[in-house]
Amino acid sequence: MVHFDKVTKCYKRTMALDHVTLDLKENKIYCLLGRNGAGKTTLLKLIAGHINASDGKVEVDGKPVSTLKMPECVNFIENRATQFNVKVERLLQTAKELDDDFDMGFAQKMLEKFQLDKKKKYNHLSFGMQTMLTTLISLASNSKVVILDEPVLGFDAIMRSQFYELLTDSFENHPRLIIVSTHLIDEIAKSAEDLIIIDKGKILLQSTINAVDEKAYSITGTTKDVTPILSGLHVIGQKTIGGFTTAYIYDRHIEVPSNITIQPLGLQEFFINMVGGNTNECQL
Amino acid sequence: MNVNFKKAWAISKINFRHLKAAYIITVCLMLTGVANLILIMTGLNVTSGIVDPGNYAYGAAIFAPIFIPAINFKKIMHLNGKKTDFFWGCLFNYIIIAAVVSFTDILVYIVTKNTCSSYGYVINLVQAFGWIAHGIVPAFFQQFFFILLFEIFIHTLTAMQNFWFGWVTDVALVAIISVFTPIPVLRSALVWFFYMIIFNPTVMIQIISCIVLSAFLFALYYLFILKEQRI
Repeated sequence: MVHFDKVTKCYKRTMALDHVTLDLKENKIYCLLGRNGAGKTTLLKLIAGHINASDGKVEVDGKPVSTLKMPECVNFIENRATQFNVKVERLLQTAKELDDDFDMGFAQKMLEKFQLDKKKKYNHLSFGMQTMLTTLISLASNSKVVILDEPVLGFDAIMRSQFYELLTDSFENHPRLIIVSTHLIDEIAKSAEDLIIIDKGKILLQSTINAVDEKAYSITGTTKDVTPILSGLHVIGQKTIGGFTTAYIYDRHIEVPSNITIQPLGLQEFFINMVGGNTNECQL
Repeated sequence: MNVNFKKAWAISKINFRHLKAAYIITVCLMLTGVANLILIMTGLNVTSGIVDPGNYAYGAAIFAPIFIPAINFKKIMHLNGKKTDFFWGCLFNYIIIAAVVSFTDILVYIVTKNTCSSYGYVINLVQAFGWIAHGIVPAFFQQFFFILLFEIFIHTLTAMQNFWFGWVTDVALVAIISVFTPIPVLRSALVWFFYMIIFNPTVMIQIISCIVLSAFLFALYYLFILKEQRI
């Protein structure tokens, strides 16, 4: 459905995406993870045709994408986007005018569920509510590709939980390709199937979340015992404190002696280690 | 060019709904013109000539092409509008505004000419540019295509302001007017240009000049500005 072929995007001297090759299949929820400035928004904007690639080819639904050939089947509302300062119901109406597939019934139901006052003007909504409204507009679109950029930014815990319900409901009612860019990996894991990790403009990982659950683990023990075990394994991070080492691994499972503890790695911890948050050794 | 005219028309309607500031300014300008006319008719103001209130309708043709690319563009894109549809939607906007402004101006001109001419000289552009001498219908079309060109020029210039070449164009325009005017050869080039788009006594040449220049400017906007305009 979405195909990137050696795509590079440069902003003057900064390379935001570096020869990215990627294939995203229809009817799946993808979670896009990356640190700030990793290239997530650039990647999403390229899919929507908001920007042109400096090099390489972006295709959606088999058609090349550019700023003058923005794909009709992609719905992308950037987070913190400015909107017309009109009543919520009017904004939904405007969104429907621009999108033949807009599901007004679903949007109205969600307005009630999230207690969004449809008589309130957009600028009078709290930041979280504004985000919820733009997310809701995207999900009410039955476009083949829906992109949600930081959809839970500014949400409290209850709103986040409601959002994941909304996402799951929306996907079950109308399966399509949904790409969610977020930092809260553990929460999105309940809804998303696939994970893409991007760092410094490169795709570090594209895998199913189940595969990550199976292959990511940590082992802890004395440095003397742990170090020999690590050879031949893909170690994504390592911490050494007071003669004890914890190694974070993304590889096949291994049998370990009883003096070494093996634990599954949470997705958040896996992500932090993947993007280099735990590479420094700390000797005490 | 992949155009969805249904969506382009939807964008056009959205633009019309979000031009309140342009409407308010235009109505205020026209009311000022009417008030001025009333003062002259009642003898409270004595002057040899005033601007016809109909000319103030040009306000819509000035402010709409400023607000549409400067304010509406991003908001429409943030609701999943597409650039190509926006381009055509704007063209619908400008055609409708040009028709309404041209019609209003000629209508007000006819009314003021028949009711106020005895109180003083009422200056209207259709008269000053010599269009009305060709008759009401040709004058409507001459003014219509001139306004359309004017709107497209303002739109393109406004959209350019986000780029370095927009600022260069601003400086170039000021330079052309200030440098060309005192130098006879260059001044005659400037005179020729305005002769083609405004004062040409042959209606069709004036109209065709406006259409060709409008198409050229809007093509430049599409290919070099809209393509790069950030959302």
